[in-house]
Amino acid sequence: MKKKLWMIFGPVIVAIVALLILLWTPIHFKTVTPKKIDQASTSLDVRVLKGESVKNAAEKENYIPIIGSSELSRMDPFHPSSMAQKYHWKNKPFLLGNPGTASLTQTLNVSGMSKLKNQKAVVIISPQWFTKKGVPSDAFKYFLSPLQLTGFIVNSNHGDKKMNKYIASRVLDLDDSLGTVETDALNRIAAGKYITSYQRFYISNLKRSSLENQDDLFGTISLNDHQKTIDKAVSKLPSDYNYKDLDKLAVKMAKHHSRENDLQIGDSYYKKQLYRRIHRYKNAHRHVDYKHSPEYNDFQAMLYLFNQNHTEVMFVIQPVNPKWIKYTGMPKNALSDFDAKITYQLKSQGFNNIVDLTHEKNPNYIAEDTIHMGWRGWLILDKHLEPYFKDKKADPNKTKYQMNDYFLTEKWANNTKF
Amino acid sequence: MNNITPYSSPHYFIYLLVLLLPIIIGLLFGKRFRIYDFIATVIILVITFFGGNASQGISLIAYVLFEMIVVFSYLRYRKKKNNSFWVFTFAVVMAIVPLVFVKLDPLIKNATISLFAFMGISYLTFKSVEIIMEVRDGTIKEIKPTEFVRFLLFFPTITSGPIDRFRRFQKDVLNVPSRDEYLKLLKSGTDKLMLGLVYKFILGYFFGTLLLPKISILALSYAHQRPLGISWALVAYMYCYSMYLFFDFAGYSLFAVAISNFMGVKTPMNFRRPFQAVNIKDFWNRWHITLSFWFRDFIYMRLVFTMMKKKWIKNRITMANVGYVALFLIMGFWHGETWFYIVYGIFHACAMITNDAWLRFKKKHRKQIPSNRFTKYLAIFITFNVVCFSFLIFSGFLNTLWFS
Repeated sequence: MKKKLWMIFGPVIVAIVALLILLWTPIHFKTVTPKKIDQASTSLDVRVLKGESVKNAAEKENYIPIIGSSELSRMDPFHPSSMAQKYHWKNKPFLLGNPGTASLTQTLNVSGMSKLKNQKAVVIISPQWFTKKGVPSDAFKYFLSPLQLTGFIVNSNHGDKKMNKYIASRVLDLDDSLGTVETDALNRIAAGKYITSYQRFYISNLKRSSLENQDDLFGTISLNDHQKTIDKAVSKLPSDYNYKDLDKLAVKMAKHHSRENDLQIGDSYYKKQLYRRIHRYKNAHRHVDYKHSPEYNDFQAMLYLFNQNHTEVMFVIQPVNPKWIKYTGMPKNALSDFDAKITYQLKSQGFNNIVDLTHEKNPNYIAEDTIHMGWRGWLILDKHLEPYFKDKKADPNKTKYQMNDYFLTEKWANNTKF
Repeated sequence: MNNITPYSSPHYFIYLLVLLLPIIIGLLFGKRFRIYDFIATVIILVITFFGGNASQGISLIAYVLFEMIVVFSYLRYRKKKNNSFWVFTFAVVMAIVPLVFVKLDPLIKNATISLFAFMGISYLTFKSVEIIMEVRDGTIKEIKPTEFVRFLLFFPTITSGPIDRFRRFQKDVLNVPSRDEYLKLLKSGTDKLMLGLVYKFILGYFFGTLLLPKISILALSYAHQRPLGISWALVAYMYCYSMYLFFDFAGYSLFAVAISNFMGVKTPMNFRRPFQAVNIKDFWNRWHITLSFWFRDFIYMRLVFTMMKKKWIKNRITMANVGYVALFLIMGFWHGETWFYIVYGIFHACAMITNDAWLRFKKKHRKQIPSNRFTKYLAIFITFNVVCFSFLIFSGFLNTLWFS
């Protein structure tokens, strides 16, 4: 009988033991190589955003993260990744953001980037994040990384208490499908308490260690690859960097690629997304308002993390295609009010490095389509990025932030006087 | 702690295998520990239904008590009196009332009437109705309350089948398999468990969780651009959803059969290579088999038999067709009160009727119509596509595409 039983269960037992070794032992099968990091830096794969391993490896190499959302996928020749490759920037951009990632997702993302301490980062802010309801629950759930969440929970006994409370309660609000232990732990953090030792054991030793091993094993396997797109874009750039020439080239290319509409919107985007329903957008944004949003609080949570890690950050306020503004009937002050509010939140706390593209004197072809920067927009940004990317170490004089927890309150989220 | 959906998470498998260990050891040594079986069942049911606010668990208890009253009242009646059609009908109606309430709930948006809502109510109702029908037929003469509860609450199959039959089930649980026989069951159970893992957590996950959302976004982007939003992405959605549906449910069914095997019960299989079916009738003999056989035995056959006996319809073909429409309409309504489930039912009824007509035509013109390997593959291809199209209706995706 013993032999027969072994013939039946033997293979299963061997498989289970192998699985346990892979997932729970401290043997790390690193699959991250410099080549993988390079691929991941422009891959925009969700696994890169949700993982930790490859990002932390990149921090040790010459990469500076650009944290943003959908605009990062507009990989034209003037995209920072193209420019960095062509003109051999000292450090290269590591792109982190997808359509639908907003401040809270990025807050957790940043919380997982343990190697960001005393380093630099770039954040591209989209006014469209700051809607009345804030980030939709579905989008947040989709991008919520179990790995980063366990990291946040395990680290919740240090760091700013108000920030931890805020993040925990926001996560609970937006995602009701978390594991039981995680939910209980977040409830404790949201109530300002420490997590129990059982919760710590379960989340740190069982959950997190397994997720870390999974991230090591599978985090970079067959990632999306945009290297060819970038190579193609790079091939269109002249060999010497001259801003004026490039500016002309950007206008020329943008013109060429937006022949079929008079809104300066890239044709492929226009055909795919707008052509049939363009009339619906006529004056559709007449009542748009970016002044009242829980997103301001989410954004503040991210700022807290930068403060905690002494990260030097360049903030970029993304422009909107001016022709699109006109077409959709967006009120003139919608963007400038947003601009003023977010700038106040940043500057009053010592985040002074802001590249504001909202008020460019020549806004032609600043966006690649409606609300995503591209062409000249990228080029203007590149002018600021190139010197910033010369050194990836943070300047300690520029990370002396004065955090103000007022910005975590609902009062600030709805404040219009500042 | 929240309810754990059976076979959905590693935790469930760990609990399950730990609980099964004494049962397996017992059976290896030729013993069934009745009391332990009972305790294990209670623990699994608590894990499945009593998490959170326990509302599902309370519903389950209330439901089982209610069904017991119905079934045993009818059994008592049958022992004394002869077969009244109306008493029988009344008993069946009473047995399905809780299910009907639960199914109507989303339609009339009145949560109070779905008193009995819990995961798996359909499958318990199928089992109860089967017993009532067989009591009427006289094939079940005696049944103890403990046997009834054990049959109904057999935990490997409680939430989604396969739907076993009472007499077949009794034969297995009253018997202790010989060691050789049991070792064979263990082997087949282990194989099924592993195959189920591949189906549900690798293939089902790939099609359903990784691929489907991407295709869905793409297909929805054509919603207002093309007539009816028809695009290649929609076609891709159809196939991807069909694959997901199969691997997810077949995987689950394999788990249920595997765990039954470990407990020395040969629960019937639910799927037998359904995508190799040569026609739609063949398909229903291969897809969700225990359900389609239940519908065949207890709705279709009985209806056709009644029609024949009462001479409502003379023509046999018409009789069969009426039977198909009834069967698949009921199946559609059972899936849920939405237009797409009902259209799905009608679609399959039409497919069955067409198929029968074609088979009659083929029989008549046997000489002119070729039958070879090529025609067989063609038949499989056509059946597969018809089935996938029906799953596209079933998925409710068209509802999202067109109306939201």
